[in-house]
Amino acid sequence: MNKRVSDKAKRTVSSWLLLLPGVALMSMFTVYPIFKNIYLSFCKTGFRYKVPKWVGTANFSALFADPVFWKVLKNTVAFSLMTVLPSMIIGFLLAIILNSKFRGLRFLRTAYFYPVVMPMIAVACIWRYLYMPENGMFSSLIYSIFHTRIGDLLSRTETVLPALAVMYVWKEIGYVMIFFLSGLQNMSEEYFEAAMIDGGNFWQILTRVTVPLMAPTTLFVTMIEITNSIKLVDHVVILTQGKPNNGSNLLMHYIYQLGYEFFDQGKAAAVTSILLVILLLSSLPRFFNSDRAIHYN
Amino acid sequence: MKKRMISLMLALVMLSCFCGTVANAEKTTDVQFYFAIVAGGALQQTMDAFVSEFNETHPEYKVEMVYTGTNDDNIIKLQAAAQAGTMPQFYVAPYNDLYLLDSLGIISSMDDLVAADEDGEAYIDSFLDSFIRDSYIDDHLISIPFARSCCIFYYNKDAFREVGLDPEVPPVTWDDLVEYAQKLMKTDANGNVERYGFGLCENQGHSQWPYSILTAQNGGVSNSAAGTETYFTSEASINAGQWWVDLHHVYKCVPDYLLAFEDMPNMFIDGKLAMMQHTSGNLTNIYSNADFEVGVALIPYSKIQTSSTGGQCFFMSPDCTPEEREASWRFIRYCTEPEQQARWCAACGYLATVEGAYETDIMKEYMEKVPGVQGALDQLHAGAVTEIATYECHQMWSLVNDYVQAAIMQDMTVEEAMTELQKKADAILSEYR
Amino acid sequence: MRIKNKAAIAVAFLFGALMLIPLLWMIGTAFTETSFKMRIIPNTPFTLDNFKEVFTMIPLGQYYLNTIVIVVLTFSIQFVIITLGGYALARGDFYGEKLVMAIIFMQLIIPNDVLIVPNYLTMVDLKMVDTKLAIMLPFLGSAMGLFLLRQQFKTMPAALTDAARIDGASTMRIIWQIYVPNAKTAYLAFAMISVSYHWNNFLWPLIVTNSVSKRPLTVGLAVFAKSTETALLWGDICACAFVICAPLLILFFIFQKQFINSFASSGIK
Repeated sequence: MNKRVSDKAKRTVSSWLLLLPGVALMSMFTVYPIFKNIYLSFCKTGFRYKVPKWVGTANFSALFADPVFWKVLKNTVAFSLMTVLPSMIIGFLLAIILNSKFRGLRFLRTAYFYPVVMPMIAVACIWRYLYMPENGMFSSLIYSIFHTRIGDLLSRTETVLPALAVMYVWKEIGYVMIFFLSGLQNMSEEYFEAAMIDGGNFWQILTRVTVPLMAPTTLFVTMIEITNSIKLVDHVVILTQGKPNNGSNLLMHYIYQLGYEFFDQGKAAAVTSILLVILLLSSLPRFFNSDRAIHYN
Repeated sequence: MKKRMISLMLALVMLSCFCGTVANAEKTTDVQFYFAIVAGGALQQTMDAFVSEFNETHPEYKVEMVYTGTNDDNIIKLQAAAQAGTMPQFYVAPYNDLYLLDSLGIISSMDDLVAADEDGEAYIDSFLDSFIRDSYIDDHLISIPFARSCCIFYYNKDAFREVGLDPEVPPVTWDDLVEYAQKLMKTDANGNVERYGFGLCENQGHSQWPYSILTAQNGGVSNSAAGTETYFTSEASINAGQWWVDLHHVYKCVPDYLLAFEDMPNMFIDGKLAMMQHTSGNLTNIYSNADFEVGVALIPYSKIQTSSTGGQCFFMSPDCTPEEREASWRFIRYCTEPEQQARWCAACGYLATVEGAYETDIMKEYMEKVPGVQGALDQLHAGAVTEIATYECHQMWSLVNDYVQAAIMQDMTVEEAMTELQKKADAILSEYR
Repeated sequence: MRIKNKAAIAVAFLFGALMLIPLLWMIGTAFTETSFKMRIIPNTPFTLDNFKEVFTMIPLGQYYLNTIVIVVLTFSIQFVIITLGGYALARGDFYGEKLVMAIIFMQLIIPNDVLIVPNYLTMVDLKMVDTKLAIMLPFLGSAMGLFLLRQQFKTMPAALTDAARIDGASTMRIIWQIYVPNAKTAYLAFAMISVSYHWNNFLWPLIVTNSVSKRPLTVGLAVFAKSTETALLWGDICACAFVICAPLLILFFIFQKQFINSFASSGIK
């Protein structure tokens, strides 16, 4: 008994020594900033303040009273919906296709996945010209086929978020697809054969066998995708800077804008605190199943 | 013996080095300045040339330049330098950031230098009025116009001819402009617009420019001279906004979307925009790429003929010795001599800030290649106001953009938008009053 | 579940072709003379002028070097940190294990990318703004890497280490000579994720640096794309984007399977 305890004590010392650099860095740049951020949320900062000045809940009440904040919040939710759902559905269908066997699979896998390895900044720079009005790529393409001008998709309230979402989904489906693909590949073919013998058609097999079996993967991918779509900001910086009238301003971009364009880091911290709450809430399902927090084959 | 000789020689060498530095230290005053450009290109080459020429011809001074990247980077670096006590003696920054720089405590008046200089007054008088006017806070000179530009009116003469307008008679008033623009609209068989009559920039980060112009043309002012008040709800401002919105929804002679500053030159060169308000910085680009005859004219106005300026100025840091101030002043004066301004203008596409530059051979040659420069100069003579400049100007510009866009998209009426905008502006500026 | 339907396969190919449009357009535009009429397959003559222009207009060489330094250093340091930590976590059974796991989960849920404001102020306090180290620091303690290695090390049979221990091998020797060589796939996976993440990272480097000598390619491209107002820029932008994307794309085309498996084996990019 005594030996076991001293064994564990010894192991504790060596374990902590081994973990020291990792834990120190994580504490410094993940744990500490979370608390620091909460503190900053209650401060006023800017050019005129050498040190942050405590102002209580002023930042939050200013935010809650500002329609722009609510608009940004709404945009963020809308953008998440517009990106997560389509990329999940398309990614899932593509995974089913890639799980089959036919000539040209390698080509398709490349075509579906390559955007994932490109920097979002480069992607956004290219898509800016694809979306450019009048002589832009899509505009000319659509004009040559349908003889109609689509104008500037990035400057209309109704089209700007969907346009950003299309680009995002294009970049992201390959990433979603591979999780479903590995999920499918880990699934025994017997399930499907049994269902096939029972006379199920494709649609029945899909809805009654595949989808339920893929539920854990789906949950996991949803979590990741929500986080990814929330934390991304590169596309807004390059393509719209939030125009028109904050119609494409998303939380992360709003934080960047407040903190580094308007030099109001207190308010930026307040928005960050709200974002932290959103991230925590959206990952609650992961807590209930913590050993699967990372999808690991 | 040999050893002693060597040490003696070493001592002599060291002594002479020491004397050399002492002598130099007595003679030269070292100054450093920050310049907001991304390294590379004509800007850097020309500025490098100015620095080395100045250092050669003025052995008593030594100027060192530090590239600080974009304007945003420049501000952040200046802020960091101010906090760390490593401020450069002077720097180049956007002219309308002056109140922002003031709130950082990093500007100083150059009145003393003008007064001390034998031809100080004449020097200041040599600048174009439209440019030097932007350089004052409370009648104190706080900047020297250097890399400046102006919003000018471009039009496509071939398109004018095509629709039976005289290409030598550009529109003068807002009413003319609307009439011309409507005539210049061209649609294809399916009703798609092939060419828009007119365009001004409306996307994020740029619509404060046309806003300032339209308001000033209407006889209004955007902000107080102290940078602490804005007048968005004035009649001039609201009418200007209304006319802008009407261009979209009543006269229908501009694109039915928010036109992006960066897209406009392309659209103009491609013949998709018949007339536009844009920066003089695009003159070279447009003259060398358009395959039609380009015209540059005064911006059509309602009550007052005016445009708005842009670009960067030299500012001086408050914490430097009189010698350093003198050295900085000499260099700033060197860069704003007619010859240098002409070179800067011809190489980089800015408008020379001193009247004399336009008489130089370099400039004459350049203006032969890009005749529109004359049009820009005419605009500067006719008038150009400061773009909205207040404390917290970045936030202010962003707000103006938001509400101009809201009004154009008819999310709210112009009056509502301007009222909301004024409320937000007051909330920001009240701290500074 | 497999697809045999010909129509479905045709749709899959059509979709694949659509996915390729931006890439084809980028490459086509980068290598041809720019024209106002954009086409997926350009019909203007081949040229390398766009690349020449980009290389004279922006210090791409410097940006490239910065990115490579950042990517290589980041991964090397991460490699050491996650190996040591991953071993301790896989061995488990020590006081405070739950706390460490909690910290790891915290980073998995709240990625450092959203903590830009407090982390920036920390860098100000540390006087490290505008250094390459500041770009790397927040990512060096990688929760994902630790977790990945913990899982991988856990699958190793205890017999392996027991034998070594009896032979008198130290913990360090056990880690570097037994654990590391046997976890190649996990390392490869993490390397690919780490490299592509830091090659592509933008917002944090943008905020924490402001000099050409420290900034990575992504920031260089963004600054270039936003700083110019001249016409017909898309040829230059495409050339620049191509230069930035090329290394990862080429690696991906060659090591496609490994890339895909790497991404699949992690939850975080």
